[in-house]
This record gives sequence, C-alpha cells and structure tokens, in this order.
Amino acid sequence: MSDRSLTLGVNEALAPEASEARVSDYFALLKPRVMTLVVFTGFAGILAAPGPLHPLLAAVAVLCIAVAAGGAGAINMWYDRDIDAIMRRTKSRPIPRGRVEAPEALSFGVVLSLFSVMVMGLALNWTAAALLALANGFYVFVYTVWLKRRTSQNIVIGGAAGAFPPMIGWAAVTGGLALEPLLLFLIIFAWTPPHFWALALYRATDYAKAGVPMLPVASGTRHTQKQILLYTVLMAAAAMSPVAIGMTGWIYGLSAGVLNLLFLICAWRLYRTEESELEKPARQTFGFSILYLFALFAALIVDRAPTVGSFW
Amino acid sequence: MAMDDQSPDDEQSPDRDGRNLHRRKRVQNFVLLAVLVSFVVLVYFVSIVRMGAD
Repeated sequence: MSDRSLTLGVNEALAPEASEARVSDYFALLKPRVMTLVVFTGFAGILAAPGPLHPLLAAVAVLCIAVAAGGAGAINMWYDRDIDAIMRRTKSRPIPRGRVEAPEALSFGVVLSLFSVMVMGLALNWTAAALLALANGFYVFVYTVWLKRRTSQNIVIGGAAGAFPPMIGWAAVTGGLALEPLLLFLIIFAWTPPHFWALALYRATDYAKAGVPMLPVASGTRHTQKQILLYTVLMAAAAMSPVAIGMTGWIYGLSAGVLNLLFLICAWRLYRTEESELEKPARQTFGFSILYLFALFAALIVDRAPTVGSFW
Repeated sequence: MAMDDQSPDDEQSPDRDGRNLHRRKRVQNFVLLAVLVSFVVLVYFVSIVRMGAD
C-alpha cells in the first residue's frame, strides 16, 4: 500500500460524521480567495474583448468562471486531503477537519464543474465552454494529480490553469481567440511561479513535511531566489506586451511600468537576502504579487473602459 | 440505577444535537432551494436575452 493510501486511511478513520457540515464549509471548498483572482482576470478578459455582450450574459460568463474554479478547487481539496491534513496552512480546510466527507466534496466539485461548463456553452458559446473545461481539466488532472507531487516545476506548468480566465472571458464575447487574450494568458502564466515560490519559501518546512517537491524543497532556497528573479523579469516583459501591440493605452502602460518596477524591487530584495532572514521579504513578495495582478488587470479594465462603454 | 446517575445536561445533549442537526439540515435545504430557484430565474432571463439577440 502506498504512503498516500495509508495516510488517507488514517485520516478518513478519524473524520467525524459529515452531518457536521455547514453551508460555510461547502463555500470554503470553493477556495474563495483563489476564486476572487480568477473571477477578476476573467472579467478583465470580457471587458478587453471587442464586440457587444449583453450585461446579463457577461454576468453569467463571470458566474460560470467562478463556479468552475470553485468546482476545481473542491476536487483539488478532495485529492489533496492527505497532505492538507499535514500542512499547517491547509489543515483547517473542511475535509481534514472532518466537516465534509471526502466523497461528498468530490461530487460537489464534479457537479459544479460540469454544470458551469454546460451553462457557459448554452448561454454564451461552446468555445468558451471548451476553454473552461480545459482549464478545469488542466488544474485537476495535469496540476493536482500529475505534477504537484512529482516535480518542482509543478506550478510552472500547472500554473497555466490559472491563466485561462482572461482567454475564457474573451472567448465568451467573441466566440474565438486572438493574440490579445494569449498575451493576458502569458502574463498570468509568468506571474504564477514568483507568486507561489515566494509562498513556498516561507512554507518550505510545511511542504517538505507533506512531501510536496516545491522548488525550495527540491532545489534549495538560493536556487528559488534566482528563479523568482528570473520569472519576475519574464513576467515584467509579458506585462508590457499589450502596450507593444497597441492593445492598451497609456493608463495601462504607466500602471504596468510602475507595478513591474515595484515587483522587480521585491524580487531583487528577496534575491539579495540571506537564507536565515528570508521570511519577511518572501511574505512581502507574496503579498505584493497578489496586489500586482489585481492592479494590473484593474488598469487594463480602466484603460479599455471607454471602448467597452460604447458597446453596452 | 445507571440512568439516575446521569446529569440533566447528559440527558438533554442528544436532543440538543438532534435539534442542531435538524437546524443545519434546514439551512442547507433552504440554501439549495435558493440556488435552484435562482438558476431557474437565470435560465429564464438568459433565454429571453438569447431569443432577443436572434
């Protein structure tokens, strides 16, 4: 029997009755904080796309993206219930706490994922629905099941799942894809490694205990610091690409420039920090990375707002 | 008798647990009902919008 099945057996034996579950526990299964970023970037994709879209259909598209992300989050919590019970950051999640039974969380996630894809297809179009299904499938099968416990490049490749929402939003409006949404995808794709590795730097012990080969665990903190700096430079270049192709104006360009500079300063400070004093700059970099993505996509929305206003 | 040794709290706790469980289930059922009704309303309005577009 594998270590995973042994741990699962113990955890499931200790889990109390599922009757403990409250509505808030089901809500927690949706990973609401992750969902916020996904929804926001998806909404930015809708606003950035050319062409008219009825506000109700835009709201349905955002709802589908949110629910699908929540469904994927619930399936992820089901699969990772053994390591979630070990890690300090995740041990208070509904399954390790015994508030929701594992099969119930799986059914909840699968139903939400299928439902959101179906509604996206019927209400908007099947290109957006296919991208939504692809994003969920990528997150569950490629990231959670295949890569997360096998390679230190787990979040580099798996991070693509979180980069889909702007493309889904764009496809919901236009029914297709173009260079612009691919650039938005690229920004989030390049943003994911410095974001997660900054977290992994100050949670390395936790990840090591759970046997998850995050980069600081597999290759050490020094290598991670270098990689964070490298990916931040790539991300900064990707963030300027919408300006380069004339997709956005000066509001986005100026905001992206300032935000890039601040992120690069964070990454540089982290790179220059000794291993024994890493926690504070790593936490700051992680915190700033969230602000960065929100602010960058908010600038994109503001920049595109005059164009979008004429369509609605 | 063993039953005479039980405190009033012990005697009430199964009832209280039952009431709590009943309350939680009722809240869950109402939330599910609200979600289903909202979905029906949403499908109705989406149909109106889609038919209008065609």
